[in-house]
Amino acid sequence: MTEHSDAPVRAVLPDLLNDAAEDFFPGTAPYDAIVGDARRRVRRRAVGGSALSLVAIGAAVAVGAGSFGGATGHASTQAAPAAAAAGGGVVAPAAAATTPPAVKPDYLGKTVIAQGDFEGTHWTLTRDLTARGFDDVYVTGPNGLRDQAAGGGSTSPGHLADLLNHFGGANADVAASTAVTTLGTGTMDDPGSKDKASPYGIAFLSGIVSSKVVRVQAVFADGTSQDAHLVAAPAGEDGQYYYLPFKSASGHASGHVVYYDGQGHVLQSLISKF
Amino acid sequence: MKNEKRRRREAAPSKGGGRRRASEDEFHEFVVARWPRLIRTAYLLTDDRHHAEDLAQATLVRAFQGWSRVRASDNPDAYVHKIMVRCNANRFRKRRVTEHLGDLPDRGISDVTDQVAQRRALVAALQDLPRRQRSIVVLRFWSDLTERDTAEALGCSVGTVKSQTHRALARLRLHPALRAAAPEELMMGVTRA
Repeated sequence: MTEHSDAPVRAVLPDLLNDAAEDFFPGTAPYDAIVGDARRRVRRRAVGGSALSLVAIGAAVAVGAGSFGGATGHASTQAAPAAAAAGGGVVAPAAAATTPPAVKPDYLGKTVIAQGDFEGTHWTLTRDLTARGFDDVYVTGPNGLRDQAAGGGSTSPGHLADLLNHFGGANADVAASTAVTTLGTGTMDDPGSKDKASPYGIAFLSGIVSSKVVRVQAVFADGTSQDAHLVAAPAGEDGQYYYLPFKSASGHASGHVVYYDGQGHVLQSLISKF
Repeated sequence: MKNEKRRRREAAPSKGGGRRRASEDEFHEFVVARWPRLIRTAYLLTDDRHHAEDLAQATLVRAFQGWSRVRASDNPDAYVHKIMVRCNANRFRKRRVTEHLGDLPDRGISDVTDQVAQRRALVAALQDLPRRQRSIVVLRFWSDLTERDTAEALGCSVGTVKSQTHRALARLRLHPALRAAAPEELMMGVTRA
C-alpha cells in the first residue's frame, strides 16, 4: 500500500479525531495546581540535594573515624520489607537490600522488594528511589535485562500514599499502579519490546496497592486463578507491593486482576492483558 | 561607592522579580489558551479522562519548569507536545492493565448513536496501536504537527514518522471496531467482514 492509498484515511482522520476529542469537555485549566506542583518539585530537589550532602559529610566522617580506629570498610545494607502474605512455594522473600553508591545527584538508592525462582528462572523485584520519587520499580531476569514492573511517579520519597494518590484511578481504596510485563524482554531499556513474548515463557504481574487491599487475585482467560504475593512497603510507607510470576505463552490473553478487602469484598476488578 | 553598590543590590531583585512575573504571566496565558487542546490530546493518547487530566497537568508542570527553553524554541507547541509524549511514555508504558471498571462504566453507553459509536471505535482503535504509532497519529492528524516536529517530539527520524504513519493508518483501516463503525471513506480498499 502506498501513501496514495492512505489518502482517504488521511482525509477523514482529522475530522474524526476532532469529533472524538470534542466528546471530552475540559474544565478550567488548573493553573495554580500546575505552578504549585512545579515549585514543590523544585523545593524537593533542593531538599534531596541537601540530604545527600549531609549523607556525604556523614560518610566522610565515618570513613575518617574508621581509618583512625583501623576499622575496615564494608558495604551498607538495609532490611528488606517483610512479606505480608505468602503463597506458593516458588518465591523467596528478599533477605536484604543494598544501597549502592549514588550515581546520580538525586539517586537515593534501591530496595530489593522480593526475589525468587520461577520455572528455574531467577528474578528480582527492585525499587529505585530518587529525590523525585519512586521512579522505577522493575524486575530483573537472567542476563541482567530489566523489565518495567510497576508505574513510578513523582512523589516525596518515603510516602507511598502520595504515589497512590498520584495514580488515583477509579477506586481510591485500591489506587493501584499495575503492570504486566514479559520477563526478559528488557522493557526498561527498550520500551518498544514490551509486547514481545518472554524468552522464558514467564510474565510478571506486579503493582502497588493501598493497605486496604488484603488480596490480589489474577483470573486468567481459561478461568483459573492465582493469588499474587503481597509485600509491605518499607517502614513509614502505608502501601503494599504485589507480584505474581506466571507462565505465559503469548502474553496477550485477557483476564482480570481482582482486588479484595479484609472482608472478602471485591474492591475493584480490572481487565488485564496477560 | 557603598551607597551605589547598595542601590544596585536593591534594584536587582525587583528587576528579576519583574522578569519572573512577566514570564509567569506569559505562561499563564499559554496555559489558559492551550489547556483545552492539550487535555484533548492527552485524552486521545490515553482514552481515560482522569489519566488525561494527570498527563496534561504533568506536561504543563514540566513546561513551567523549563519555560525559558519552551518559549525560546522555534515552535513552543511542538516543544510542549514533545514533553507530553515523554510524560506519557514514562507514566503509561508500564501500565498494560486497563483501569476500566467492569460494572461501573464511566462512559455514556446509553448514547448509542452511530456517531458516538464511531468516535468511541476510533479512540478504542487508537489505544490498540503501539504507543509510538498512536502518538504519531494524534500528533500528525489531531495536533497538526509537521512530520519534522512529530519526529522531534518522538525523538526519531522523519523517515520513521512516515513509515510508522503508514503502518498506523493501515492498522486503523483493518481494526474491527472501525470496520464496523467507520465511514466508507475510511474503509476504501478494505473488504468489510
